[in-house]
Amino acid sequence: MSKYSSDTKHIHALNRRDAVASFLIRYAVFIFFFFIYVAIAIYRPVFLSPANLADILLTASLVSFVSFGLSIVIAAGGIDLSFPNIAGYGAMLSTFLMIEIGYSVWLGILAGVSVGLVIGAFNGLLVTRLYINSFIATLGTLFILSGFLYWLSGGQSMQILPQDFEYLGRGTLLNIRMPVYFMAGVFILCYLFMEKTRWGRQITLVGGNIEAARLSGVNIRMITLLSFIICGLLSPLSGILQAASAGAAAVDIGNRFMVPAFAAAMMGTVIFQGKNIVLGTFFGVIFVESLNNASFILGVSPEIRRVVPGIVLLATIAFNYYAKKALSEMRVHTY
Amino acid sequence: MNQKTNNWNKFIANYGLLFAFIVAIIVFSFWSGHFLSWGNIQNILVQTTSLGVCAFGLTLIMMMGEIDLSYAGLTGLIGAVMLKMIMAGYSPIWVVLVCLAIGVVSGLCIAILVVGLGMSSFMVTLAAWFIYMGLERYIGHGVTHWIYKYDESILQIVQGHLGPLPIPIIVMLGLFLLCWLFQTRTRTGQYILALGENIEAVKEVGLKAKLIKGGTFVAAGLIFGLTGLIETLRIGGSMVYSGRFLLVYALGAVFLGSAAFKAGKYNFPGTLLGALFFYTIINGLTLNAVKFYYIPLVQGLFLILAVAITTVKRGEIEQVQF
Repeated sequence: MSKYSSDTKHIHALNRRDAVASFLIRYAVFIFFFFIYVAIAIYRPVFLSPANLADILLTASLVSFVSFGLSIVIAAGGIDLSFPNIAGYGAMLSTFLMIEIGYSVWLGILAGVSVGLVIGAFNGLLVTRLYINSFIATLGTLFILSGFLYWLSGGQSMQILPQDFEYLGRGTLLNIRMPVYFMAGVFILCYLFMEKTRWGRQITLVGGNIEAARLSGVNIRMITLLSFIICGLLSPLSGILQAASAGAAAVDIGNRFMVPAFAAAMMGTVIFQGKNIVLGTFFGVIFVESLNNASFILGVSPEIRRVVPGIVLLATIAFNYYAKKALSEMRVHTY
Repeated sequence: MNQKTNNWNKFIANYGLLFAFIVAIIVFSFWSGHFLSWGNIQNILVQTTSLGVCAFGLTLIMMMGEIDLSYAGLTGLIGAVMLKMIMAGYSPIWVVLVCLAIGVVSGLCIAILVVGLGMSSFMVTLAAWFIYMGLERYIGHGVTHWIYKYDESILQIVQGHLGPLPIPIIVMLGLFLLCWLFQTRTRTGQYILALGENIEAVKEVGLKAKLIKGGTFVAAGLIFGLTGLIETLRIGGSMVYSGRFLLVYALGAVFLGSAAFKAGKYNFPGTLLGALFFYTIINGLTLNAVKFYYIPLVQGLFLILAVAITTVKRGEIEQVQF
């Protein structure tokens, strides 16, 4: 429209309008959630009380580790369906070692996390060495791990956990529960890794355009493998901290992460139009868990509460689709 | 020489799974005398029906290079709706029609979002799965109801026999033949496969790619509706999240099937074999009182091994794009 116009003033006005519009489109998700939060807070002021905010942070922190891992795998162009069972197996193994074998807390956690690393590496090797589609490979791992989970525990849940272990989930520092600090630490590490290190940038490159990555000399195998290892490494943290804060580990402990982690990681990949996925996933986790919390406060029936993540996810994807389209159209018109 | 090894590799890739299936049957039949009895074979086939039917719908979708996870929630949702209707005293014909209609509507919504608006099928159907799970809870309140308490007549659909065969087996084999012949013998069926191979070429030829794609999503929706119907009737009631186990098993059956007959390509005979394979393993191991947790272990290993046979020579990492 303005492309052939000689009226520079007109172009300038259009550009300014476009700038506002593009800002609104870019941050529509945030604006949308801002209004939702305001509405909830007016209706139920307790939503913004410090105790409730701390509660949102706690539930978000438990899901955050799997979500970060999942979004990094997705950024590398893969998918890991086995994360609920990696989380569950890590939690069951570390609590099993503590209770039945008598490992110390740190050794138990170390074992849980390192078994996650091994499973992640197994997934990665299936994808990078046997060239199995990651969807199928991790589906197979999901099956295998669910067998191992029952083998380990016989279906019994692990109870009466050591005090020191429960402190990791239940202890507080400055009125904030410990898992929140772990989330902050892992978030910073993941953020720095993905945005500031060479390997992190290469993960995004491989996921974005594998041919371009190959031509620019990126070791695609190593990078893809690395993304699965990171997911395997992070997933048990969610399970272990969930067990520590609940005071018990059951066989299906990982399954509760399935829906929120998927929703958060998917939101994370699209919220900044495919960039900055770790920060996006962080916001995704907060949005998903705060809506879950709000539906409790608003007294939404548990039946409807289960529809919420699905609708939020669908809305976010739809938003992303229109944002991409609108932004690209705008570029066509202005330049 | 080189040609010979090449042919041998091809043979292994195409018929390796069938061979493994036959070996499994032989092992199980020696391990337990009852494995090959007609009653047990019927048992395996009837158990496979809902998985098989569901996997046929999924095969159609995956042939086009798309994916659909909605069936995992749809099955439970249909179960909940069905029980509501049966309890309200609707006749079986209405119940069946409404269940199938739900499937069609679901397929239509997904087709509009994926084909019409161009959104990623993985994300749309993932969201649909979550939404259906919630709707199921909303309608059924998570309570298990048994059909026989309200209406025995509708159970005849799955309990009846047509000749020597139970009706579910006939439904599954009938749908298999229908899908297989449709895909291999009709033009539209060939176009579905072509969509997955090279969508640009299909457009170049001047085909209505969107129409075919949308139609396939609707057809798959109908098949998923049928899955929900059969699964609920087979269980004999509505159970919370009854479709959940289908999520991984149907994907597994289709992937396993892609490793048979036409290695690396989704095909209906392979899917049927994959579905049967899963239940044969469950049945054979259960008959011999193997601990239940070995079952998913064995299935997972088979899935990975079977697919690895066909992919290991590819030499290229396959990415998943959303």
